[in-house]
Parts: sequence; structure tokens; C-alpha cells
Amino acid sequence: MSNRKFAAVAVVLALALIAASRLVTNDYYFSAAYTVLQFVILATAWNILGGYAGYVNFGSAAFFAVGAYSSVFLYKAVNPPLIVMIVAGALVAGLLGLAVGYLTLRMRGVFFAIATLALAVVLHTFVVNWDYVGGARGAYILQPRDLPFGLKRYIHVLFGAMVLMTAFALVVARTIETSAIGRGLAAIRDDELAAECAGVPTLRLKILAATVSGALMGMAGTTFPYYLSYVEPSAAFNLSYAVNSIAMPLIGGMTSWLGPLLGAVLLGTVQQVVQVTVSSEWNLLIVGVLLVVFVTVAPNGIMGWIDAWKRRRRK
Amino acid sequence: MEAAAQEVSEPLLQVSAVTKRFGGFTALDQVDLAVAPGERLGLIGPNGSGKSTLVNCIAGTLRNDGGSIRFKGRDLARDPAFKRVHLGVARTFQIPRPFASMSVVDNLRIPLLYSGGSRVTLDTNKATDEAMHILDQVGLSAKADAMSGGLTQVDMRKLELARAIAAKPALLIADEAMAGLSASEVDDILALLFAMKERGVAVLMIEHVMRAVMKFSERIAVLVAGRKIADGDPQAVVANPEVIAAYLGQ
Repeated sequence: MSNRKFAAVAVVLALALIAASRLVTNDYYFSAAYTVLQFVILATAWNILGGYAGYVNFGSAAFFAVGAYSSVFLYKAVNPPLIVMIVAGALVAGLLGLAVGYLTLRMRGVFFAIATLALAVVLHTFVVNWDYVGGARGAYILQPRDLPFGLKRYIHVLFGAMVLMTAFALVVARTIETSAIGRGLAAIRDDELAAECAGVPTLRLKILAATVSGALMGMAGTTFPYYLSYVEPSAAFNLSYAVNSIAMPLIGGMTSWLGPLLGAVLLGTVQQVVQVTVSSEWNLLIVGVLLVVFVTVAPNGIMGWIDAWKRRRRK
Repeated sequence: MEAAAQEVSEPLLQVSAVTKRFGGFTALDQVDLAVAPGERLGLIGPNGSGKSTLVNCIAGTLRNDGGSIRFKGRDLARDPAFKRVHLGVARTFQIPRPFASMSVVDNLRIPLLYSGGSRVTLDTNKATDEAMHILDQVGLSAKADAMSGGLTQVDMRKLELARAIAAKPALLIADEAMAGLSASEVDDILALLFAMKERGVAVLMIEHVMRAVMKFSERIAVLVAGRKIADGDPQAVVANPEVIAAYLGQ
């Protein structure tokens, strides 16, 4: 399927999903779906740098929080429409991604991962001390009263926005994956020096991947303040974002756009179910157990498992 | 000992007074080397003499501290490694570095995609045909769909060469492409490198297998402890007392 066709299908499916959601009366489902979709974006975005290029970013929470706090800032400053906040947050997080892209010049492997984790800590400290956006106290954000398209609750708006953003992220990831850029990134993941010596402009591609990845993660965070109506640094910079956005592609499979989607839907849904039926404390434990299981049983994730099964069948 | 013909025609590659230091250790000391278009040059020297360092400086994976490297008359000092590949300098690695998650044919798509001169588009029949043609030449076409990480040593060497050829170079640097191979395998690789001549590609061969170097090279240069001590006709070079002393000790 060509990328243009895929984009059309993704948009149609997203709109269909939004239309179908009008039949759902229990608002909890919107809230749960919102969270799962948010993780689909985070996982998809993380995978562009982590899966395609092999640079493990441990600072997903920083990008997510930059998106969230850019919305808080805009809310306090001019209170623009949601779409402006989404675009602005993505741009700011993209700039941060650009900076991280330059980090890859000197660091790789575990050193790169530690540097990105440090970035999250630094930004966290910065936000805690930035009074304008609420500092350590956090900030209250009021959801707008006027709702478009005759929607009844603001969570419906947020859900719709999240569905469209998810479709956008998946289209971007798939476009990169199937283009020359994706091939180049795969070569970098396999052997960066050999890639450079095969003519791949490695630095340029890594910076591009880091920027796009960062922008998409930031985008996922832009609606977060409205979702909770209250943002505090420890919520926006929560380690679970970093852990989940690594675990989900790992479980789903890191070499294609479908892997993070599968991993995030699976893991995100299990977490939501457990949160309601058992306890919210169990979430990270589940992630941990599933990670251990997958790393030992299916190191290439669900997609790797499917590929191996297909190959066996062909023989 | 510089061949007189070199000084008349413009060389393809001109390495002038290149120096490379690692901390206090001077790996290359004022090395000069010229390669003419289509020439077959052998570069020999004991372990640690700086051969691979010179290759890295030419390919751009290391930056020389002094001197200049010109290719087709262009100073390469500011060009990163990938740019040099686009300009026509391709290399193989001493220890094969395949893109292990890709099939053999997909390995070739990378240079075809990024430095094939006229940029071929992704996965078109043209790109596949080109890749298969090169695999045919190196004798890997039967393994086109095999995963490159699982190849044997000799096949990995062939893949290294195929990937370098796919970059459509004017200068191919073969860094110990034959180390550890059997006599017949050496002949396979040699035939391949000889075939490059027909494409007008100059080959710089770094090699310890003397039989191969002597058979292949039109000219041989010798590096010892970071300095070039001889450069010229192969027979004359191996008869040079300084070269014999460097190899056998005094």
C-alpha cells in the first residue's frame, strides 16, 4: 500500500472511530481510550529513534512534559484554541528533539540513554522552579465551555483529537519506515560506521529521526493539561511514560510501525483493565513482568514472532 | 622511486604529507601517496605500520592532523565520510560489517540508494536488477535472500566488496579483504578485483597475503611505522633492502 493510500485509510478509520464513539454513553471509556491512544503515540514516536535507528531514548517523559507545559504556558498567556496548542507543543518538543539529535554525534548506546534520562531530570527541575506555569504546586487548567460539533463533554473533544493525532503519528512513522530514510536508519541501527561508509548521511538522518520523534511525543502531551484539568511536574514527568514508551515497542516489535501500535494497545489496555479491576499500583509491575517474558520468549516482539511464523509456513 | 608517469597526469587520489597522531603516538608521519585513475596499487607493511589508519583518513572515518588528501582535484578535508563515498571513494572493512538485520540483497540497496550516482528509487526493479547484477559478479546471487548476519567469513568478505562496488566508486579501497581465506578463496576475490579494472575503477589493496599483492599490483607502496619507505615496481620494492629489513628484522 502506498503511503498516500495508507494516510487516507488512517484518516477514514480515525473519523469512523470518532463517529462510532458517539454510541458510547459511559464517559469512562473515552478516558481509558484517551490514555491508550496517548501511549500509542508515545510508543510510535519513541520507535522512530529507538526502533528504526537504534538510539534508546530514556527521556520520553521530558518530551511529553514539554508538550504539556507548552500548553500550560499558552493557556496562561493567550489561551488559544486547542489546535494551536497541539502544533506549538509539537514544535517546541521537536526543537528539543533536534538538540538530542546532536547528542548522538558523541554518544551512543547506554551513554545516550543516560544523557536523555538526565535531560528529563534537568527539565523537571526547571519546571518545578518556573513559577509562571505553576512550579511545584502545579497549574489548574479549565476546560473550555463551548464544545464544537455538538459534543456533550470535553473528554469527547480530547478523545477525537487524540484519535486524529494517533492516525497522524502512525502515518508519519510508516512514511519514514518505507522511505529511503527508513532504510538509512535501519543501516545505522545495524552498523553506523558501515552505513556512513555506504554513503548514508548518518548525522542528518539521526537528527531528523530525533526531531520527528520528539515532536510527536510532545504532541501527545499537549492535550494532557485539559485531560486532567490540573498538571503538576511529577505527573507530567512521570517515569512511567519513559518506561512505557520503551516497553511497548519492545513488546510489539521495533522494526515496523505496527509493532508499537500492537504493543501499546495490548499493554495500555491491560493497564487500564487492571487499574479498574485490581489497583493502579500494579501497572508498572505488569509492564515489568511482560517485558521479562517478551525479552526471553520473543526478543523481537509480537511482530518478530509473526514474521518467524510466516517464514516457517513458507518453508 | 615515484613513478614518473604519476607526476605528469593528474592523479585520482593525492595524499600529501598526511600526519595522524593518537595522543603522543604518531601513526602516520608525512605520508605521500598517489593513485592514478584505474591503477592497481598495493599497500603493504607490518602490523601496526599505519595502513588501516591511512585508509581511515582517506575514507574520512578518521581526520588527519596534518597534510592534505585530494580526490579528483578536490580537497577532502571538510567532507564527512558519506560525502566521500558520494564523490567516489568506497572502502571495505578489515572485519566485515554487514547490515546484519537485512538480507544480502538489501545490504546492497543501501549504497545503491544513497550513493548510486543517479539516485535509484526504492525497491524498483532497476535497483533490484542492479543489486543482483553485482551479486552475480561476486558470486553471491544464490544467497541474495539469506540474512547477511549468517553468512560464512568468505561470503561476508564478498558482501563487503559487493557493497563497495554498489557505491559505484572511482577508487575502491580493499582493506585486507583476503586475510584468513584459503588459496582458492583468495583467487575468487582477486578475480573480482581484477574485474574492477574493466570498469575503470582504481583499486588500493591493503594486504598481508603477499602472493595476492604481487599478482595484483601494478605498483606497491610500503608503510613502516607510519612512514612510507618504498613505492614503485613490485619486484623492485620487495628486493629493496630496507623493505626486507623491515619485514624480517635486522
